[in-house]
Amino acid sequence: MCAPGQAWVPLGACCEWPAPTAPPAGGFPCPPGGESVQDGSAKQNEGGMRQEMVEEVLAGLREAGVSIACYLPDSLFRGLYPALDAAPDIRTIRVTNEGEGAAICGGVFLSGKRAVLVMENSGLRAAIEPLARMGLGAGIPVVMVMSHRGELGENNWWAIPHGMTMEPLLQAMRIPYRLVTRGAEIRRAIADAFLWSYAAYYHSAVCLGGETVR
Amino acid sequence: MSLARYDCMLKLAARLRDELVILSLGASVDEWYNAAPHMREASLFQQQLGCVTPQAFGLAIGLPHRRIVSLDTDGGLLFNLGILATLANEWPRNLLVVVWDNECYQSIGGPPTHTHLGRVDLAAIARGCGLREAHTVTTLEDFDAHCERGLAAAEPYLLVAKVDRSARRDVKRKHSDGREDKYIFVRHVERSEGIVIMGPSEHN
Repeated sequence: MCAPGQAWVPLGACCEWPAPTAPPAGGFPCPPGGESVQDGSAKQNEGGMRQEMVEEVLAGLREAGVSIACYLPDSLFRGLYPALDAAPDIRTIRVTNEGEGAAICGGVFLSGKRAVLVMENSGLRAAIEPLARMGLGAGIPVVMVMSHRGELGENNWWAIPHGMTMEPLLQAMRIPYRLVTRGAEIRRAIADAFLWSYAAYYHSAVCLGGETVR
Repeated sequence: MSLARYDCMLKLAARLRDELVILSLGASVDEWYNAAPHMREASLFQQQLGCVTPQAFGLAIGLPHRRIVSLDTDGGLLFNLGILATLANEWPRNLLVVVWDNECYQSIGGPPTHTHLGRVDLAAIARGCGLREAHTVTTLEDFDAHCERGLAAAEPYLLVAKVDRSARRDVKRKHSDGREDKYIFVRHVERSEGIVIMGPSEHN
């Protein structure tokens, strides 16, 4: 994790974080929840999404008719967020927490447009309450695409709980999900999640891990 | 404080025709059900603390040509103050947020919220987030005047109504639950917008 004052520097050509001004010397401040990449050990497996994986996510969202994406940025998807921002057919909304994002997505559903909530899987814990209220109480669905932090291959201690809690929480909420580890599966998984949620009027989740994010 | 929420609702309801409303839980549900009978199908009665204004914002994004009204509460807004920052950054031009600030969690008997000591100013927090039109009212005349402005504003508008702790118990109760309310609301949006939100299955 970033210590106060530590710098956060985007990695890779596809991972330039949009910023209103040129980065200060030493990089941008670390985003909330972000991990330092100043540490050499963290760099080993933290390349983030490759561009072809980003394109598969965008293709899946387009196939599903998504026009709005709410997100709270994380590190594994750091290549995805600028691509979402740049997509001319998708409006992105940056939120302050994932529960807020879930509620906004619920409101978008009521308008007839299609929204997706993009986040790290730790965001599921923050979003459980609004998801329970909206999904179980009213039948307002939210489709989530989350990075699978803490799966096998994880090398950050702080991310282990994310992996340990994700599936039990999804199961407790009766939210169907698909663990996607191969790029060829991304597009279909996202499209299938939307098909299911618009038949069930309940939440669904696509969890991207393996080669799709590393 | 002597401002009655129900009286405010009557003023606001008189100004509404084609708008869509999302409102919070508690006694205000039955009050709105009676104060705005012509808006029943156009109002989504929800039970989610902290979700009302985010949902209304999502609706406003999805229907940018239509005025959306969020009837939130002090407890509900305090549950997720971050939405004020999001509204300031996203700048919806069709969203009026009314916050019924009675300084208590009325629906569970009235324990105080964080506004009860008079230190926490929700409108000031909103202005600090960047919302230019964020106001507190304590009179019915001011409430009505701000509703008129807020319903015509081309930027996010937040109105904190400092209302008393009274609740109208002599009004007709709404019988539907959140799931039925959603269907009623969605079908209204479909009819009024000429769109399909919840369509047929592949095989019926």
